[in-house]
Amino acid sequence: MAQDAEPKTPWHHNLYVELGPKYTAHLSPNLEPFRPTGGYGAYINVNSRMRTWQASARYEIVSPSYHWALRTGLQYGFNYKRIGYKQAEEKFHPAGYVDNEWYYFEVDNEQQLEYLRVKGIEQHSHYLGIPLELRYYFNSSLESFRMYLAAETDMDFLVGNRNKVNFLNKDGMAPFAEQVTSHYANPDPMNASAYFGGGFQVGDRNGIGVGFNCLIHLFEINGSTGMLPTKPKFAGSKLQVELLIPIK
Amino acid sequence: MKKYIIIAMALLAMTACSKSDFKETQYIDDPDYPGLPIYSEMGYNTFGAYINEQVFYSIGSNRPFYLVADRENLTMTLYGWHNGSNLNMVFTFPIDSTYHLEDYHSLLALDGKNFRIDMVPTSCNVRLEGPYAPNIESIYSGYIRFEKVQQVIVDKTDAEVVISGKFQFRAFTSDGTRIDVTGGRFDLGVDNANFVNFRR
Repeated sequence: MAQDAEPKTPWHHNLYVELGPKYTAHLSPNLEPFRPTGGYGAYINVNSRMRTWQASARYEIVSPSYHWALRTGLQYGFNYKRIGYKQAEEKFHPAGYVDNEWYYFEVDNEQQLEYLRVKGIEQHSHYLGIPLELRYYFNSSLESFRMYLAAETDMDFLVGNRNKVNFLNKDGMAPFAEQVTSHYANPDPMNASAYFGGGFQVGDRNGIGVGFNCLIHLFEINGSTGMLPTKPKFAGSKLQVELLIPIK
Repeated sequence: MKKYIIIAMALLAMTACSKSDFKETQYIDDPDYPGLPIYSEMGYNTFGAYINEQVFYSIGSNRPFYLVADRENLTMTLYGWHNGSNLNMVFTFPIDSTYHLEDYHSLLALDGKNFRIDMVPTSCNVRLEGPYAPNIESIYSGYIRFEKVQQVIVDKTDAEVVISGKFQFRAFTSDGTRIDVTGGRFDLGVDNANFVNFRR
């Protein structure tokens, strides 16, 4: 009888190494420019940028039918934010941020008018996180090509943060950076996000494969990401290249 | 007079050669007073007023004025533009010797004192200079008031002193024409380049 039983299809186990950027839609801070480089009659606006690079190692368990998969692991994220001013006529400059521009940052207007000449303000944040992702792989007539849908959430814990001010006058100004950065929020210790999207994988499912993953960043569940406030919903995207290594 | 003209030319040359952008004019229109800069206390190096309802405003991209202190008076000259030609407005008003205006920093003593000079009955004098400038014979009423005098620090270094204030007056020219100066305001930066002391 036992010989008549169909062999049990095993669950699949994979390891992944993933890398890619995450773009977060953000709101530019409301800053009143005072004497920016454009000066006399120039129209100045705020230039801000936020980008996160994420790298993760993930374990995946896939159902015997190779449709449903659950993935989790450890994720490192480096978030970079920058605020500066740029002139409207240089809006289409490919660099986006013109390094030789600067403005007066007001640090005191009570007892006296005190300014620090600033090119830009940067915030560098480091996170360690735990992702949790559910995938559904579609059937494919091609053995070495698979498409899937994915829903993911992750919890990121702040493990380091550094605020940096690029002063016009670099000599001896570093100790006063706090006077500038204190006007901006630091990231919260924990931040969580939710995503939905999909992707594809190329390569035999029992061999090494490469995948491309595109997720829509639905919202930040909790926490401030720092000096640039994020938009509450549909807040960006996440693109990941993944290397699949089957372990069983 | 010749002495003042020489000083003025020297000061203008100094400010024109200055590479510090903090000395530049930053002109922001006042929507409530068309043609005039807003009243500000930021050192924008602007001034303006209506002279018989025609605008008189600061010109150039650098500091449009200078101050001269002597033993009894403080003279403030505004370099402006009015009715298509250059016009300088020169205020000379008595200043109490207790203020000790030795250098531009000593102007800070005027802050918070509600420093106001009523042109009548003091010996305040206003002069207009320019190719078509009328000759003011008498002042009927008016004042000049320093609303705020502030030290400006840039990158932890003394940059200048900003004086901000308002003025208006009514006067008569030598041919009996009335001149109404209204809505006057100034926001000007002072340092060694445009402050001279003859009290010493």
